[in-house]
Amino acid sequence: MGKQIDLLQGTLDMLILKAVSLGPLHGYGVLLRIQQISGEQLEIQQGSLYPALYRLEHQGLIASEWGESDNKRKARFYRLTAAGRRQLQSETEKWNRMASLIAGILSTTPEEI
Amino acid sequence: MSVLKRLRSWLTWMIKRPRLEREMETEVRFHIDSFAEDLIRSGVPEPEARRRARIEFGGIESHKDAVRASLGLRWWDELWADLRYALRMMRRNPGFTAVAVLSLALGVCANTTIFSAINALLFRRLPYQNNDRLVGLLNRSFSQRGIQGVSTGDLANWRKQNSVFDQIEVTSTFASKNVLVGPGGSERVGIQYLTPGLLGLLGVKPIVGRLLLNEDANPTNQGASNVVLSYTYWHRRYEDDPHILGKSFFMDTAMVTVVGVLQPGFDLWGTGDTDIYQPLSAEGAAAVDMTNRWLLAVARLKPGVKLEQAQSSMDVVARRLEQAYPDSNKDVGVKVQSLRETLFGWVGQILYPLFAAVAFVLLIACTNIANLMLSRASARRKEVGIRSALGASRFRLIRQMLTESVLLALLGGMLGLALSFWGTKAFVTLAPQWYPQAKEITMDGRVLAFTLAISILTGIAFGLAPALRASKTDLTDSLKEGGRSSSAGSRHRTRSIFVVVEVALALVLLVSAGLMMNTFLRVLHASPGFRTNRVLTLEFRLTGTKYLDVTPLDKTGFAVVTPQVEIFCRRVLEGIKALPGVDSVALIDWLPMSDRMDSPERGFTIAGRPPVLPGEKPNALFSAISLEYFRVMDIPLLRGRFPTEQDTESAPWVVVINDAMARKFWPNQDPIGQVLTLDTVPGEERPREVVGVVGNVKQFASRVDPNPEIYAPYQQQPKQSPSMFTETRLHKSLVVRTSSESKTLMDTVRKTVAEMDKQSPVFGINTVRNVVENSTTGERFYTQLLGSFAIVALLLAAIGIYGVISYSVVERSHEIGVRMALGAQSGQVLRLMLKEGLTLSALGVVIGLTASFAAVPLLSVFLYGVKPYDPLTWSLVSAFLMAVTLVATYLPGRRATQVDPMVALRHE
Repeated sequence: MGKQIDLLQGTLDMLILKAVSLGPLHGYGVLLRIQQISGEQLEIQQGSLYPALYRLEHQGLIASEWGESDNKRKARFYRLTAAGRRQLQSETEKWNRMASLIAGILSTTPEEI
Repeated sequence: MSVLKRLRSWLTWMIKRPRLEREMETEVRFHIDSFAEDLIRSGVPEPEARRRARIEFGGIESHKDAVRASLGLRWWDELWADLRYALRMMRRNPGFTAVAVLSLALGVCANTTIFSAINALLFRRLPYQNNDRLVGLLNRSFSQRGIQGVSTGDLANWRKQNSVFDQIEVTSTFASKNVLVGPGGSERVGIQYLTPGLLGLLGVKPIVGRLLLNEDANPTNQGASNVVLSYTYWHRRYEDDPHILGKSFFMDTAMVTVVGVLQPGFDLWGTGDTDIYQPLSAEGAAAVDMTNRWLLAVARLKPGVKLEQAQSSMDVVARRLEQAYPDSNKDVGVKVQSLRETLFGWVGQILYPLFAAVAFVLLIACTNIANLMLSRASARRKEVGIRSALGASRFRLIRQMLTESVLLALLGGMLGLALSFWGTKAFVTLAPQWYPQAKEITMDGRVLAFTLAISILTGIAFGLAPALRASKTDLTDSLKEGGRSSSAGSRHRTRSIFVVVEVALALVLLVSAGLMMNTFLRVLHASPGFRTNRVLTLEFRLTGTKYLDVTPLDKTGFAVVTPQVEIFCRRVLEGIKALPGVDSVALIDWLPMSDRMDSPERGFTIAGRPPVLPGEKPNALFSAISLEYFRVMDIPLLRGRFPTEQDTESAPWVVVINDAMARKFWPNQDPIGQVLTLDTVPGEERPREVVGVVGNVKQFASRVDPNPEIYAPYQQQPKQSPSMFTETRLHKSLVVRTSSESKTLMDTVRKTVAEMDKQSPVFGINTVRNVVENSTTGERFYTQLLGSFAIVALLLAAIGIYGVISYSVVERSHEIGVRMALGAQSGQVLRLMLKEGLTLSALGVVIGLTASFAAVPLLSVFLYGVKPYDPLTWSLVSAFLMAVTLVATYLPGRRATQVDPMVALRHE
């Protein structure tokens, strides 16, 4: 159980970084962006976004400032920092390597052994 | 970098806590509202949209909590909650809190006080320049234990032969006394001799004038020299008058000129009795003396030289000197220590056993509180059960309980720290006059850190066991209404073990204190070998060229004691004898057990014995006396006769010796008629016949066994006097046997002597009884300290037993009720409880006695007249401790007999 959460958490962090890398977003915007990119495939518990956002900011990977949203309300906007950009890059590489490795393993046919 | 950034972010949020909460709230509301609006836009009716938005978001509070946790703020929140809870618990149990905080405060106070004392002397940096490189050099015997001072000859040789020191200087090891004849009259002052370079080496600065120079040391004219004053003396005597510079005074017979005043606070030995620093000449053949070892050398290591290197290098030098000067340097090695160790290391021997004692007190306090907490833990079983039922982990439970105990410990520590302010004052007040730097015992950062550390450690120490135990609660068991816990038995066992430990620790302290008290009583009541009842004493010091002719000094190296001394002494004896209320009167150089200001040994040769090496010459204490001395002091004649009127200067010279001397030098022989010659002034000293043997007296202190001693009539002494004996020749202690110890008589005696010579100071008027008692201040100090620690320990142990038995009565009330319902008498019930208490304390006593066997050797240096394993002391304190525990058991035990069987049985 614990391990799954860790994996999910790590993934969520990565997705958030990716979402804000495309432009500053408020919390709700991050949620919408992730859902939009994933083609509504990914179900995220909405509230769990915030601990992740605060943690990433705490780690200095994203920064935030207060601004005005489309519906003219005060909202907090997050953007990627330089450290966040580096983190996203290395995470992406790591993920791709892992994914292709796993894919390679899973697509192995009996003849190839 | 990243860690720093996170710490900064954490700190920011810690400080801006309200803003964080506000922002989270705004953000969450914005999220939910936006989502709801989107839903409305897609056609969901408003109330339904708002409901769904809130549901989809999830638990707002738990998400917020996760945010706090992700910022590292959660443990703080928990700590804060724990602290608030702990405070509430304390308020709800004021009795428990008071007992715990008070017993801890006592323990911490004792520890902080003793640590402050240790810190002041043994940890704090000495206030000197190049402190890390300063060492003290003394001589030690290669073959035996034992330390002796340094001679000017040693200094000269070491300066020449060493390769490890930049600079070596010497100073006298105590302040010798002299008389300063000023415009306002004569006064006795403390003189510290030093080579002029010492002040510069230590980095001492003058506040007025200048430091001493090498030129100041050359005694050109009959010992005349330049001197510097200590700040306290200048302040006290001359009221900070800067015009003191250049003023000249007679120091006894020699002219001294003040060239400076030293900065405040400089006091090398820390005894506060140096008034004047006089330069010591260590250069030139005349000044170099190989045998007279009365100095301490202070040296600065060359940069990069370690203490051990210096020691081994000086060992080589010492061996070389042993070859070159077998007379004076046979078996003489050098001991190199840090300066602080040399000056104050010996105090550690006094303080460390006390430190062990106070550690015991604290340990007992800890055990006590652990016990109280264990008892309380049973009462809180339900609370713990609910907590763990609600999902608190065991770790979380332990943390919460430890927070409580550490908070308790910190409160106790704070109170203890406050108490130690008075504790330190008491220590300084009790400390004997010779205790160095007593006024420097103050709080500093190190003391505060120590107190904080022991507080936290004790909090964990006494909190851990109860916390571990309590957190192991079985859920269903503890939540059952009125359920009897299956672990009650083992909990009771733990408490019993704790009580046994407490009793054992308290006993070790009691044994130590008992031995010390025994020592003190013995020292107090030990016969000094002379009369102390209704004998007055005073001292005077003859001053001026009238009594000491210094003109021959430059030629012969000896001053001459004039006949005026004898004339004055006779006048004093006659004048005092004539006073009403005076029975008899006599004189001696220095009263036994008073502060003797010379090196009291004299070497001698016994006629008819083969010559010995100079280093192995026999020596004994020497005192010149007037004829009546033994009769005034009630010192018994064992053999032969006392000196008489016939033993004049021109008659054959005689001596009376004490029993110790007779036994040492003539073990199987009659010493009467034997002849010995003292090594005072060759040529003038005459052979002396032993005419009598008298009883021993304690010459230094009650606890020091009598040394061999030679008494001679004061008329039968050489006229010439080497400078080292001058003080003794001119100083006299008067002893007066009186019919009363009245103040007026003391006053009359003092005035009578003072009026005979206005220039010679008269001082130290006292009863002989007081002088003897003053020699026991060290024992009194130690007894008082150890005694008070032991009493606190006993009190704590008694509280511990009381607590356990009280609790046992409550816990067993059901059982007692059954017993009584079945016909048990109250006496039987009481006996049951007493048996429980006494079993515990007996077990504690047995273990404590065993532990004492290991502990008392630490004390043996302080004991006198009592063996460390003194059966009487051991059994008395054991019985005392048992009696106290009996009372502590009886009080709650009686309550057991008042149990109403009906109530007790219904209670279940």
